[in-house]
Amino acid sequence: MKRQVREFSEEAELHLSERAAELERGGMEPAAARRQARIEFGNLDNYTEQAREAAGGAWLRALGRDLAFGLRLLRKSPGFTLSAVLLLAIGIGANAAIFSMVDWLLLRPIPAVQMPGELVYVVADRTDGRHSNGFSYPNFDDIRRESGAVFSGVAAVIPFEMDGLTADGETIPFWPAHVSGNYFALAGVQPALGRFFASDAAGEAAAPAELVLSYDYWRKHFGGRTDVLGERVTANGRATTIVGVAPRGFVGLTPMLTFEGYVPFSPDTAGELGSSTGDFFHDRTASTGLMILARRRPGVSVAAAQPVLRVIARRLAGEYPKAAPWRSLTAIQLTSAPPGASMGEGNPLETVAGLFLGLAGMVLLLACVNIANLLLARAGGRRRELALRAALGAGRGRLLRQMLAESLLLSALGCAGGLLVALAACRVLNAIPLGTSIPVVFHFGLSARVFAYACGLGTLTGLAIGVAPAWQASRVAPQAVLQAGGRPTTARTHWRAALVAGEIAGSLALLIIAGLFTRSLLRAEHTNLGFQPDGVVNLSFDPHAAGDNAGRGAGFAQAWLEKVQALPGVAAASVAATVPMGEVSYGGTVTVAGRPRASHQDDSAGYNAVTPDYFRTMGIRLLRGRSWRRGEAGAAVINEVMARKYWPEGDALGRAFTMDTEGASGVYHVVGVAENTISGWPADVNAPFVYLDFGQHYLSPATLQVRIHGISASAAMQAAREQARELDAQVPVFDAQTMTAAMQGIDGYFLFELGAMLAASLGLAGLFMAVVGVYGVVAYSASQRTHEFGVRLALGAGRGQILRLMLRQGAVMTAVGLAIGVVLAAVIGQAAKGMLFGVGGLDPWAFGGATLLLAAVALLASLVPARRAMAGDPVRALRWE
Amino acid sequence: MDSTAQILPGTLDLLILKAVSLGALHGYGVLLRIQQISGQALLIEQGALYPALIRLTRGGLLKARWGVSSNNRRAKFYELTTAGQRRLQNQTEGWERLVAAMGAALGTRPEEV
Repeated sequence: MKRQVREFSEEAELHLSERAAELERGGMEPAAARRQARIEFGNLDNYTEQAREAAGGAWLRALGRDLAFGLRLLRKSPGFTLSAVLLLAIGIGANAAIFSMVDWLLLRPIPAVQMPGELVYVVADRTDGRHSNGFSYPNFDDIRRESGAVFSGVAAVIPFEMDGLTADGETIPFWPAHVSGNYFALAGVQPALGRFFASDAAGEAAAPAELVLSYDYWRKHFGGRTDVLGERVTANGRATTIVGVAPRGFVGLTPMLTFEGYVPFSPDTAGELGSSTGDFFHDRTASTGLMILARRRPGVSVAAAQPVLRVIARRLAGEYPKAAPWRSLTAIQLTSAPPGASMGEGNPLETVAGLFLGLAGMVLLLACVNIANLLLARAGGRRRELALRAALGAGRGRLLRQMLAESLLLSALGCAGGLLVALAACRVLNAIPLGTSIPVVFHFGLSARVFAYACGLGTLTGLAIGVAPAWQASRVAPQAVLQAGGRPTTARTHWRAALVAGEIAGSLALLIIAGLFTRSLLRAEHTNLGFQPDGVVNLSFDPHAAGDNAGRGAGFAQAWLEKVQALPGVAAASVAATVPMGEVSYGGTVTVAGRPRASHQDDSAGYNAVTPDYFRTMGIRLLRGRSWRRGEAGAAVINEVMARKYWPEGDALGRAFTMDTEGASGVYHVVGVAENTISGWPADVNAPFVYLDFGQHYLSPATLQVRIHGISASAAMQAAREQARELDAQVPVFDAQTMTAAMQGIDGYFLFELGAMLAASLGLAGLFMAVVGVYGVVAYSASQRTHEFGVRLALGAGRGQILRLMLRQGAVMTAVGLAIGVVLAAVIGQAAKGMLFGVGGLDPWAFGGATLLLAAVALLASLVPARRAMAGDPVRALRWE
Repeated sequence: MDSTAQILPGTLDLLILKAVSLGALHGYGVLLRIQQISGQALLIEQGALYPALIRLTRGGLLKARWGVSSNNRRAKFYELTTAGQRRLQNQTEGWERLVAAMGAALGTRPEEV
């Protein structure tokens, strides 16, 4: 198009000079000839324009003109523009923020990996109907060797073995993954520094003790020094050599987790990874914590890999029925969604994501309705302008395009505002502490996908809000409008009232859902915990990470405990293997002699290993009996649920039971019955629970808990840390925090709070939309009826009557909206039931409270413009024409 | 001046097609050719020629290539495409029918009615 215009100029120039030359030949002066040629040619600009139009692309240029015109109009009414952009920014911002979470949790491909779409992980469908993603090394190795037809590589990883890294005499927490040598080759990544591990299968069983650091860990703890290569450090007490640094951005292949380093399977780590009885490399039952990852060969689909896996599964199951109790093996596409989620058990995250995306969508819908209302009101006012333009020859398509250009312009501005809102929201979300040192990373942000999503929504919104007013505007009959002086018809006011009723319905639904989630959070936070978290300080420690073998760690724990107990301001102190709502939990199976085990009955129980003063430190009441004395063999305290379950006659004290835990089994007698407490997740209340003596069940990591009295938490932490350093500087102490802070973490109330915060934000946005909508419609209708009210007042109507007239309009709208909203909320509440804690999907408090709140706010929003209408001066109103 | 006539709307395209059908021409050449073949009787707006040429080229009736004019300047030469030839033929026939009809109509005398 540009080219043709340029060529036109050239042709015209040639034309003019040839014509001038000819005229000169006829005897004219050069200057005069030139002038004459120009005159004969005609208006050059005009023809340039015609040439441009003939060359096509007229549509695009017209759009440009429309946009420029739209921009002028928007600048002329800044009030309207500002409110519309604000509404859109909130609507699009809410959606982009929620979507950025969904993107991070579900959609994001594994970062910094070659062709992540080819990666799968392998899951066993067990004969007992369950799925398992954990394998032993020999099983993994067989699968690796026998699946070459469909997989170009198969690697294994043990995602998290808590470790400590000791360099220069100090131990810092370190969370590496233990990997097969070919792990990096499978990911297709190159080291940022140094090298990776030898990746042949045969080499693994004889691999040297080596270590690869993650890029971030290297930068943070080694200052990004290039001379770390070859440095000798101690990981979990094993001397090892740093051989490489993983590339920037590579965080491993396990969704949600960010590994700080990589340790190869090797004879050196085998003892640690295999259970005490087995040989990691050769015993098929030794360690079953290996996750298997594979890369599909090009052109091999997930389904095409299935037959090969089935054959392997059958062979292994036939040969080792105990160590490979499998019906089949299944390959599952590796995504960034948490692994358990996609193991055929349905992904709860997807449901949550769907719910919140839906709610955010509703906010945007409300924003659209509001803006459509504003645009309709404006279109009403612009009828004269549009009619005039139609009368002057603007075609219907032209007017339509003009209106659409305006709304698209608005939505573009709104979209930009929305991205800013989303950015701010992501900052807030990212700043929520997770209360754990495990490198779980939430980093919500505006990825390209989020950006595209927001822009797509913006465009859709622009079209949605523009179509109705544009259609209406394009249907103006010029004479009618110009004659009638632009008075609106009532039909359109009804249409607007219906829109607002819908808006109130949506807004109410949002508010009710917000109420449900808030109530759920309150319920979770006010559940009877069974312990007193206030005044308790936690300090986690991990002798194992400093390379300890049981004896020394237990000794350290006891010595530290005694030192801390002697500190001033310490009311009680104890050591526990797990803390309520912590990331670690243990469980086992209970058997009671003489009590037949019903086949359907679940005899599992959670357990914790604690020192005798635990109950005093945590403020857990002992309902019967006592805690054990130090060194008292085989004593256990059980919780009330367990006492009732196995000894319903209330005679649990002194009874014996067997507890089978991972690799160990013991007989215990009950010395006390404790109040029920929340153990793991806040929703776990009614599970049987056993407390055993930490002195006889040493576990690492563990947590020292201190009940303080009269000193600050930070002073207590400081003092306790110093004592630990004096005892053994190599034992890492981490996650020092108050019990109440720990409970806000990712294993505690975090998700409840996140849910309540998101729902409440969306609810508030909905409320805002409803206020704007009601106020806008009532105010608009008041302004349109100024003349009518003037007449009524002049004819003797009381001002109260006018007010009632206006309020009735608002009230009808609101009532209809509320009724629909309650039904809508009931439907959504039903879908959200599984995400709520201790609150039904039809919680009367949430429903009642939200309805009252919205009714009151809507009344207020219509009262303000109604009063203004009432206070109008009839004379002025009549003169308004 | 009495011997010249403004061309009828819509006939410029036909004239251009005709002019070009007699041999490839650049823009100014088209103008000269039209003046020549119409015996200097038709008055066309010189500038209007070019939008028409672009339109006809886009419509596939003409094709353009760059060449050198008689006084050695770069110029765009237009030729008829096959579609252009067909169009020229159709329109010429249509035009002749119109002229015949108009001639007959205008030549009617009272006694012939």
